[in-house]
Amino acid sequence: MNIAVSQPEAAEDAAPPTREMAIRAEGLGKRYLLEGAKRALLSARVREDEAFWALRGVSFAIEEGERVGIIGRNGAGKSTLLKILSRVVAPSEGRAEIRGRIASLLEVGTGFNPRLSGRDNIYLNAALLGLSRKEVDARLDEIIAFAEIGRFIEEPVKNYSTGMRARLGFAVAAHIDPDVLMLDEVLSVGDAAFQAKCLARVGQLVDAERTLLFVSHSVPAVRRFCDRCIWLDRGEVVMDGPAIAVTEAYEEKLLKVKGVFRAPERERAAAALPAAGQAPAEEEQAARLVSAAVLNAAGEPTNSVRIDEEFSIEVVFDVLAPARRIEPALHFLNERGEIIFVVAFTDASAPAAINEIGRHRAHAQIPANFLNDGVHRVTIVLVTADPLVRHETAEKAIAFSVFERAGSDRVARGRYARRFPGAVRPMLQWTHKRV
Amino acid sequence: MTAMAPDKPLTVIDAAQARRAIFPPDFWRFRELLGQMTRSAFHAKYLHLKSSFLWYYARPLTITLVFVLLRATSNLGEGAPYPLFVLTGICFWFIFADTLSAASTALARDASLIQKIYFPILILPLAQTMARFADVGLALIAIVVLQIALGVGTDIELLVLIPVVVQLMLLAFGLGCGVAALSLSVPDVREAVNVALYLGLFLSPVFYAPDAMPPAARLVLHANPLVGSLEGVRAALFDTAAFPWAAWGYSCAATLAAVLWGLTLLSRASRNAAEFL
Repeated sequence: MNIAVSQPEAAEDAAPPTREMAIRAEGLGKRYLLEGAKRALLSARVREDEAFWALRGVSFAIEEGERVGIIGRNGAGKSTLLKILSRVVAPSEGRAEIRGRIASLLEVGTGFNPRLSGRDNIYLNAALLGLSRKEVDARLDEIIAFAEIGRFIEEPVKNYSTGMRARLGFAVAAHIDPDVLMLDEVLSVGDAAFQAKCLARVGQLVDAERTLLFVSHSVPAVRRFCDRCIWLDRGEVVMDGPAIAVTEAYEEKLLKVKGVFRAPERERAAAALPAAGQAPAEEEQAARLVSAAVLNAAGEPTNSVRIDEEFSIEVVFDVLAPARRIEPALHFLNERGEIIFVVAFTDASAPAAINEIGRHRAHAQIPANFLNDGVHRVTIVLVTADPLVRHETAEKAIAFSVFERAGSDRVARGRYARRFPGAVRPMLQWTHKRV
Repeated sequence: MTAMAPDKPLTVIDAAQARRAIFPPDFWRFRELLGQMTRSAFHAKYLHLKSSFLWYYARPLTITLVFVLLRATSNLGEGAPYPLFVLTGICFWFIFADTLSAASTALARDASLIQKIYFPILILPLAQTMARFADVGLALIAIVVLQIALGVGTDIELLVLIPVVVQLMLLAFGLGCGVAALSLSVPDVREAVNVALYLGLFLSPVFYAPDAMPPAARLVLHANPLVGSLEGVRAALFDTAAFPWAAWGYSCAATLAAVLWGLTLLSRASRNAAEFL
């Protein structure tokens, strides 16, 4: 089920004309031995039924400066791929070439010696990542400042809190200045403030024309930092292409996030609508939903929208009975299925709601910087407001995710790097003066 | 397909490579790590207790004392006074045994590292071995003090001490690497090595000189490469015996074989070490 996406989305920053290749993988595969076949370490001949493939036939080419996210469910082979590329494990088949100094951060703070001081551990950790003493000397102050360890730097690491260890570990890794940086869910450690700092640092590193390989479960993080995404499932590449397109497909498959709802038999039935003035049978449904879609700022159907762009929800419905004051209503639900707000039909040009038989199309415009990032679902209701009659309720008919790109200055993020809680994230008009 | 920039290092990962080079091209880049790991191993052994240096002497001194008392019944030593003979034997035997076990458990000790970061794994047993040179220094202090107290002189053969010690450490390192690699797939090997080391204490010239044994036993004993090393250390330190060139030559040959064996096994295991820990 390979879906080829050849044309990357229009890059926001103009790419230099000649990009060098940073990583090239050809048919990478990793076969793990099941318990019982482990004796084979020194012989290497294994029966097929004693092994399983964690990764198979993975090929891609990454150019210098590309920021590539790798997503997939647990056990999809993401970490295996990163371990092969960082040479922790050897592939069972295939080949890869990597150009430039590699730093891989499979876990923050690996290789600390609890008995040594923080300062000594910086040298030890940096040496593990392939840095010379001289190079560490030049960065030492910066690392210590970033880690916020303060006077504890001379204390043995065994006296550190988990958070301090994590900070120190990331501080070293974040200052080794590699050509190719590989991160595996590193941002899942530490408190919110520390994560924010890590994210900010990743942002800085990413600005500096570095190649980034970023393994994550988090679609928002991939959308924020990566311009390309590789989706792995059961050890194979499902899709490889622009980050937005791939993550949309991923969310559609896994979370059933789909911005378009259609009822084809109803679309075809347009000709069979009763003519105006012709009274339908009393018990028949007075209105029915034909289609609904999330439209981006350019008016194209989409599964995801940028947080700093306005978008709209289009509802197409048939009115089958006259003078019923039909109107659409939208229920917005968050990821947990809780209603965050309900929108009533407030079109000034149709003050008496919709009475005419026929096909109608309504748009609800949603402003930029209004919904928070994440997945949202919309239940569409066709209703007569007073007395209240629900003619049709399409539960969670459409869904979309709101995402944010790193580097946008039109977002309501201010100077915070953390994830914003809450359902909405509006940009309000602030004023201030000294009093 | 775009060309690769020529100025940056190229890393090739290929499933067709059956083993990893034991000295990969980037080994030199990791020299800093070797230093840091040695330092870390040294710290772990000596600096975590306030009086680790004194504790180091507890074992050789008590064992020496026991054997000096036993000696009242028979004469097992040769040349040097018996307390000096036993102390030298005990100290250098334990340097050998401790280095071997430290090198052979080096991979398991830092398993979490191997599973997360790439570096030449040879660094781990090598660092453990280098940290044990501190034991040599400590042992020599005790031996020289006793030597002076007993009025035993030294001679020009003292110069051979350094090559003999290096040979002893290399033998322990080579065997340690081999055991470390083997124990990845067969964990029982380490237990067997513990038993062998316990036996070795009595099959090596620690408490007795091989020449004080009956001729038949002497032949068997000389198959042990430690005979040349331990007798060599004594001959180098004291002026009471001639240096056993033939026995030490055999020790050197055995050391070369052990190092080649150990490095071969380690290079074969290093490709997939992360999965077997």
